[in-house]
Amino acid sequence: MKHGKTLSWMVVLIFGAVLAAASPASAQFPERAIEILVPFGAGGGSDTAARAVVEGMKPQLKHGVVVNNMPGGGATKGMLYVAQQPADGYTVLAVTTSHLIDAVKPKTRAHILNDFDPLCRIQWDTSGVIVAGDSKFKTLAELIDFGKKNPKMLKFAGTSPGGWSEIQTVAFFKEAGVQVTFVPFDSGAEIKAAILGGHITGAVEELAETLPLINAGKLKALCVIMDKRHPALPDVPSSVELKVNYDHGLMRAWGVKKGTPPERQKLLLDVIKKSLENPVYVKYIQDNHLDVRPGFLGPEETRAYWGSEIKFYTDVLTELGYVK
Amino acid sequence: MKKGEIVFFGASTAFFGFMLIQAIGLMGQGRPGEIGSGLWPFLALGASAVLSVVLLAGSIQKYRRAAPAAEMPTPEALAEKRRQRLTVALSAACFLVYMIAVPWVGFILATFVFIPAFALALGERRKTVLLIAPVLLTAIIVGVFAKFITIPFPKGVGVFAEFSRLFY
Amino acid sequence: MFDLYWQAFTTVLMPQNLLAMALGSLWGLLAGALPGISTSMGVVLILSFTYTLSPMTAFVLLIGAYLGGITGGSITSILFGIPGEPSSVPTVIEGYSLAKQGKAAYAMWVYLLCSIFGGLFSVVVMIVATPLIANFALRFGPAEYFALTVLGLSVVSGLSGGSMLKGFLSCFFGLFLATVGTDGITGEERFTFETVTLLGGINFVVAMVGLLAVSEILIEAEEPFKEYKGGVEYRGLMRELPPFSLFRKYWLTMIRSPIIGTIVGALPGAGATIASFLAYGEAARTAKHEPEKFGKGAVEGLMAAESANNASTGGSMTVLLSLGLPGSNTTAMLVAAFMIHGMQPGPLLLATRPDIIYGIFVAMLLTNLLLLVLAGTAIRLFLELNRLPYSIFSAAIMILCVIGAFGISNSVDDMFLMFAFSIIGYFMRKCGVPVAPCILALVLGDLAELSLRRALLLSGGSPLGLVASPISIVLLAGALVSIVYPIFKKPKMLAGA
Repeated sequence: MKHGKTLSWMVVLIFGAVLAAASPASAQFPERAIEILVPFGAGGGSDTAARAVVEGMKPQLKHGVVVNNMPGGGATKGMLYVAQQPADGYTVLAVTTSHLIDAVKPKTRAHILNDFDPLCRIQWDTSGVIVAGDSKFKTLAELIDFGKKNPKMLKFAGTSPGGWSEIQTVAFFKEAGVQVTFVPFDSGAEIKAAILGGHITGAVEELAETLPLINAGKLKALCVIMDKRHPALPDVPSSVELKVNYDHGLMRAWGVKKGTPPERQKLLLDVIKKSLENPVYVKYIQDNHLDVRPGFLGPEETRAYWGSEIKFYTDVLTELGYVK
Repeated sequence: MKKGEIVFFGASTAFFGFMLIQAIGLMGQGRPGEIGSGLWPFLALGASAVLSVVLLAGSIQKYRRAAPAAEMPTPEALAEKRRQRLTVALSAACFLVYMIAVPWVGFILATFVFIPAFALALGERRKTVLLIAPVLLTAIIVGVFAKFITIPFPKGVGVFAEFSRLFY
Repeated sequence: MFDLYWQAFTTVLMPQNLLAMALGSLWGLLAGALPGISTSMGVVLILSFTYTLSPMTAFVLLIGAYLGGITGGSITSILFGIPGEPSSVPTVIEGYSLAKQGKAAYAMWVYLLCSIFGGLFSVVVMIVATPLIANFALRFGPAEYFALTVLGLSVVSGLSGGSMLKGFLSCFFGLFLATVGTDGITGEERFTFETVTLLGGINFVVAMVGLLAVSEILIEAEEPFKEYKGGVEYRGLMRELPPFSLFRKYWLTMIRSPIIGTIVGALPGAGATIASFLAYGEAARTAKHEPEKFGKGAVEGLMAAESANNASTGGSMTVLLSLGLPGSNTTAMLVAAFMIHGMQPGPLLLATRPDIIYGIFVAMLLTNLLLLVLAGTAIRLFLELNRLPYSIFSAAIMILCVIGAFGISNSVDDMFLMFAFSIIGYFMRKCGVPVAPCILALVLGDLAELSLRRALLLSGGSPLGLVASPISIVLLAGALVSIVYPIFKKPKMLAGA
């Protein structure tokens, strides 16, 4: 560290004059590229969503936008990175429900509500209860019935233990009065392979990725988790219709570090809002059925939504014994 | 290297022993019906610790047996060994300083300084190489990695960040 | 059927598609060869250019980037000893040793020919037997995955070099390293010591670059100073062409490795890395000619790893096209590409868009052939780098290692982790502890532990669930033989010379 500092002084002397001439007087924000930090690896749902929005942002910003993937530690590593950057609006965090669940845990290292300002919510995804196409369960009622008689014998797969995937599986079935065994896998592809191969009963998964297999009859949706039927699966009842009072879905939002100047937040929000109307993005959400439920929420609504979701997950996690 | 081996396996015994104690703390965490978070690391660490102890004992034994018979190394061999160690230590130190410097002074400047420093540590004395290579190599690396495939390298703090932004 | 292929050929051979194929392959080769940018990152970066292209052109471009990336990863492995992709580790172990012996051009030829052979083999298998492979892959549940990883780990004795005890120590160290981070079953943090860096676990590229590449430079620094890299005085690439008899000599490896690659590549979550390690391990275990050379420049190991590595592309694509399941990050990007162009990969795609499916088959065949030329040219250029002054060459490798470690998740902490591993690797080598088993265990350890625990969750805690299917029995029996056999045959190996 000491070496770094000595070196710095040397270089300050050398380049100081050059830079004094070169650095421009305070220009208009943004004077360089905006960095969108996706706290997940390239190619995942959050990454694809962010990149689809960015397509529409690029033409609006002179210096462009870069997507930066920083996977690790659930979504914690990327969140901490943004929390450590200056609150100047140049670094935007792609927030997902994982961050809300993270905020409940006592070990949390940065709190999504206390350390960040929401820009907007962009998507609200829908999940479904998925089993194999040739499964013996034809309806959700049969599944619940079997589950009630044989506690823990229903094996449900998901990703992220203690995270969104497990919470939605366990919370949904708890609402239905069933105790299931949750078996965590590493990716959605592995889960689907395990269901197709008959190694596991089923999964509670986001619908878009499973639709091709459902349409081919290889997988079967027993219910969609929302308040009304899903337009792509008109024959599948919704959870509310089946009297399971649970309709939470995966949320994707964007936020900046708390203390970012309001006018910069406003500018970013306007840019994002405009890019949500970009044909590329519109086609992307239509193809992926991400427009089934209105996704967009303004900053204040998003903050309120985050607050209420965190409260809900606090209750669920406390009841499950993850948080004491 | 016999003494070195004893130190190495001693250190590895200590390391695995320490981690083993950590692993015991993980035992009992788990979902009902499976082996839990602790068992697998416990087994791996246990086996590592046992193997380290066995190898440590083996190398001590070898050292004892070899000790009386060992010849005094010639002064040239000793000097050569010292030169080797110095070169390795110097180049490793250069590398470490480089990585410590990157977040503070930015990737481009750190790289520019690292190249001749590392070459000197390895024993490079040709002036043309030491003068030309840093410029060319830094230019190529920044051009390819920072500009072309846009890896977001650290730009440094304060005035260094301004400097880095002139290039990428 | 024939009509469809004819149509696909004429589509793919259209000028704009050929251009896309060439550009995609070049980009892929570059992305694979450069550290700090993985094949999947290469595909992501090129994906945003495909929004406006016609679907067929887009796929030809992406297939080029995908296959090019898998192929290109090995160039830097052989020449610099830096694994561009995790799947290239066996290539580093054997190929870089060959390069140090002055056989870089020869190693490059073997790698290139085997890669292309593996790639073509798997495409043909994919065209002929898509449903067969896909159904076989689905029979792998957690118990079978566990058995597969045990078989993979059981080759450790073959990788140990001198002393088996030291080999096993290295292996268990790797198994421990694989447990660092968030536990995939309980979400519990293990050995993270409250740091965020270790939350996501130790990325194996970071560990590999440190253990293999940087420690190698430190070891080389001990040698007296040389002005030029040297040792790689090749006499023109064509003259180094390996004779056909070489491939005939190792025919079993040449057949077995692509089969392993295709099947393992088809397993979601396993993929190219595990495929190349398994094939490499099998070759090491059953080597008839010169088994003692493994770890020190065995051509057979290089052949096995490279042909399996590229064969995994066919397996991966099989499951992607027939079931819509992406087996790796890279193929997940191809799913995104399907979505962008309004298609959903899955069982119905063959019925709704046969032109695309057959187009992809044909594009994969042709891309493999094109890569033979492109990679050949790239190799020619890369070999010229050996003329650089030695000190600058080493400095460049160090910087590339830093870029490689940093680029994984753009994190400065990973650089320091890499440095720690390079020091560990240096001392391991000095004390005769082989690093290869450690890396093997680090790669397989996570999958082994998690699938064991998944299998137990599914069987309700009964260990009988692990041997409930014929596949797992066969795999576990194979593992048992390969662990026990060398102990009985060469008991001296246990203690080491």
